[in-house]
Amino acid sequence: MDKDRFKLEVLPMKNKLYRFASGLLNDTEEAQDAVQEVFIKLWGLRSKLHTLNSTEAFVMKVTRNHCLDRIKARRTVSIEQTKSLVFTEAKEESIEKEVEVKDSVKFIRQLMDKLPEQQKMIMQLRDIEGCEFEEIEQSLDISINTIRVNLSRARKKLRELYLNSVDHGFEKNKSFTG
Amino acid sequence: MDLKKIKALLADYYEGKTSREEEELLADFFKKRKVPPEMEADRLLFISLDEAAREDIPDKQFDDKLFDVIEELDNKKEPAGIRKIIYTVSGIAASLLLILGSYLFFIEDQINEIAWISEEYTEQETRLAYEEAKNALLMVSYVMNTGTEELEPLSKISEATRELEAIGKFHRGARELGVITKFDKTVTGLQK
Repeated sequence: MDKDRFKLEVLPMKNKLYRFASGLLNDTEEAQDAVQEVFIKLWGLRSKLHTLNSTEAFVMKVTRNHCLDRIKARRTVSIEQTKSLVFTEAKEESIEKEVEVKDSVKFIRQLMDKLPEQQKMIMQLRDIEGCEFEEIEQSLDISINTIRVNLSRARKKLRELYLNSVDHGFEKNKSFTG
Repeated sequence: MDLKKIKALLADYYEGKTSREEEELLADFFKKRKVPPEMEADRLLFISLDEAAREDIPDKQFDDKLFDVIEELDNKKEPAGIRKIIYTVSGIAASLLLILGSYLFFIEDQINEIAWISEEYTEQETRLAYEEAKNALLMVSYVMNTGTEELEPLSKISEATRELEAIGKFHRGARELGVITKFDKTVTGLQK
């Protein structure tokens, strides 16, 4: 696969990968870095790409693994780092409360971040990317039955969180009415 | 589409039982219609999911930056290849030089030594040295030969092994005993 074909066949997935990475990492900057690294990895594997059944499923798999590695690496931060992290997080939260979350995308990302990783990934692929169950099955290596069960849990949980936000007057501050 | 149908679809949606088409119907409904208050949370969820789906990578120069990095990496690889060749070639050259150098060094030393001997000693003296060396070598060969005499009993071993060759005959006899299997066959035939 040469550069032109790579640009034509692989690169157009960048926004999808970005949304997936940003959903998993809950950090737009890191998500961009992650997507760049995934593409570099894919460039290295370009001779292999056209031999695959589904390039997209493979690309999603690479992205998922890369993001999960990043999340794992985060967990092994030193105590000193954790201290500063806790401190800055608390600070950020208070600022966020002050300005109120106006961006609906940011808000749903925050809510989805409360879900377990598997549910997050499934909901991302189904409800945001509009993937068929078979595609999710290939991308995440989980059975359709498991996908349905986890999707149902994730949707119910999100609805509950939205209900809470409505009860707490979130809708009065929102800038999106659809 | 009436609200009753939407509510039924929504119930399926939360159970993970809706198809892509049905989910699109729901999303479309929430985008266009006003909903009763009890469905506000559902509407927020669908609207937010729809907006999240339209979120693109923020960096507009993402492609350019990516290919800059890729090109940089590809370029880095090439000089590494050339460097490797240079290392191998210079390694071979260095070892050749070392061999050639040491060869010349020692050989030249020997040549010099011979020249030095012929200059310092008279012909008689060198002949004497030659005789001495010859005697020494003769003595060595004599000492070695006395040692071999005691090794003679070893030849008895080879004699014994020659007699063991008769074992081969036993093997031949065993092969001829194979005829017994024919007897065995006729017995089984009779049993039938």
